[in-house]
Amino acid sequence: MKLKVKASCNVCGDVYHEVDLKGERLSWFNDQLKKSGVAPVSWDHGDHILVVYVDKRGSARASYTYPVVKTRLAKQNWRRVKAKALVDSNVNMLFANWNNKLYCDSYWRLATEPEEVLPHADTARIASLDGREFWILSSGANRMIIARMLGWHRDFFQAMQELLTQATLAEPDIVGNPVVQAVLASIASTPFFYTSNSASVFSDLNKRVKATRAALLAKHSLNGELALLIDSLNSHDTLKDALLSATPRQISLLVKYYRTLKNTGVLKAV
Amino acid sequence: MLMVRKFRCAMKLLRNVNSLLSVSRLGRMVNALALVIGLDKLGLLALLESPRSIEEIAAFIGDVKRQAFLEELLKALVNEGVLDGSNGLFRVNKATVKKLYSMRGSHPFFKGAEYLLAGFEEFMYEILVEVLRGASFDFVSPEVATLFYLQNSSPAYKIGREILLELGGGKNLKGKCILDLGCGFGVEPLTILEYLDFDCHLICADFFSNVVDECMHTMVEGESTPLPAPKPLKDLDNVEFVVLDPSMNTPFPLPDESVDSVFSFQLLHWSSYPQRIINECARVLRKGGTLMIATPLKDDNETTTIDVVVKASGGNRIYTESELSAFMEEAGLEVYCSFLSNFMVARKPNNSRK
Repeated sequence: MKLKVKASCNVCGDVYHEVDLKGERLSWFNDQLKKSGVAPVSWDHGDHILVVYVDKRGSARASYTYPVVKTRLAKQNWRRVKAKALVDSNVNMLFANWNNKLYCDSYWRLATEPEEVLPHADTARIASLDGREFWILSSGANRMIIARMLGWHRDFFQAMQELLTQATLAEPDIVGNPVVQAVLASIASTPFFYTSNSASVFSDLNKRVKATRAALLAKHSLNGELALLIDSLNSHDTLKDALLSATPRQISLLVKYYRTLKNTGVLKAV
Repeated sequence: MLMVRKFRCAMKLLRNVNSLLSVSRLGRMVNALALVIGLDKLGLLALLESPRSIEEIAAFIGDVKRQAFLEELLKALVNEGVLDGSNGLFRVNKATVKKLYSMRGSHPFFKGAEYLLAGFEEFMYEILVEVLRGASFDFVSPEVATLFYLQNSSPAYKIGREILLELGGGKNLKGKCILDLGCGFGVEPLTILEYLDFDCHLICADFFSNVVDECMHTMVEGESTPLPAPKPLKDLDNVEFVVLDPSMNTPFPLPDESVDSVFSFQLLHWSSYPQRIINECARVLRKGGTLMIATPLKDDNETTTIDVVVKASGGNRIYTESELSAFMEEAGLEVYCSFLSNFMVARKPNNSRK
């Protein structure tokens, strides 16, 4: 599908772009249109990226820009921390502590060396290296670097940033916590499940989380995979233990609905 | 003007519910079926295939401490024809039970209450026994909260809310400040906002922080919104949130005469303090402002199946139309519309001194 878009870029002024959406990107675009009435398309403007939300008629409804860094920075003295990937995530991610210059690459399978990307991680931004875009998210000393995948839009960048901020409240040193990494990696694997429901998942990881009998009713309207995970909660000592036996998709679903499940009382942290 | 509004509402209801005059009766029947499902799960229906005294029924349940509530339960079921009760003996009326079960699968009103019915299948029957045995059940328990979280999103409730908005001023409510009293988990504010094309200032109020928290995080999305991307309700400039005191010892945290309308859908029968709630609504309403209330209303003081289900779920009871009118008048409000044994709208007079 060819789309002609006239939009306002806050760096370049009024711009006119054409984009040819095909395959997975087109399918995702239509999905977003159906869901929210608008969908984002983005263009690389060199030192910044323009994201335009268009409606079903192709009219621009809102636009944003964010800076992009393409220059290589000198390597710094970073130290790798060995850790096991606890879930099978398809997303390439680095977890780092900026202050201590430590990083963990258990979810990183790219040819680009972590040390190439890490110097950019002084603050949240986008780095474009070797023709690939890396999203650098920052909260306290914690850094999460994600290789952007097809179809990801700016809202997801913000969502992951919010997620990292919530994770940091419970875990100021993400490099040393493979369970928190596993939760983040699971959500990144299924990014479109994400909502802002997740805040207390991280602080509850070491608590016993029980399903009440309200789960008997709720399970009829829950995704089957999530219902299975909820069923299993009562047989684990902590939420962390339960998540270690779960799939990334199940973890993402739990994170998506966690606030609601706690607010209604289906789940109780004890 | 009022007749026009009523006519529009009635037409809407006819289109969607199929039956205009029997809404109140259907409500009682749905709750009767919920109780039948509960009794069936407990084995009581089988017991009642032969005539049984209340003592025999209490002995079957065991450790019944609330004899009066058991009496209310049985009487309400007799009134709905589920039980035959004569000479102090109760026996199940199989034809009525069969009819109720068949309506579950076929009648739109019953389909709209499916979560209530499923709740009685899953756990409410246990709660009924706990209450009969003396437990004090809280209507914000996980079970009831979950049941109503799911129930509240049913199309039947959406229609009900839109009818109440129609009765309370319809699209004339655009641009007004509306207090959504008992906003629940978020579906209700969305209905109000969408109905008014997001053109109003909405104060979402509920009695429990977990409910308000969930409401705040309800996502606003879809083609009907003016937003470029999905957002939680809390991020909308024209929506704010307040948590109220469930004991009603503290006034609503809103100034006198600060809102144009109060919208309260299916809330009043849950609270033990209906008069205090209506007094507070009257206080915060501007002169000429409207209070819109939807709550099941009954014809007389007889206990109904709705009363029993509400009490078993930790709520208070339902009221007669004259009781609700009296609450309004006591608060200095003038009732100007009562509709379908469910809806009542009152206005704060322009010369009000309260």
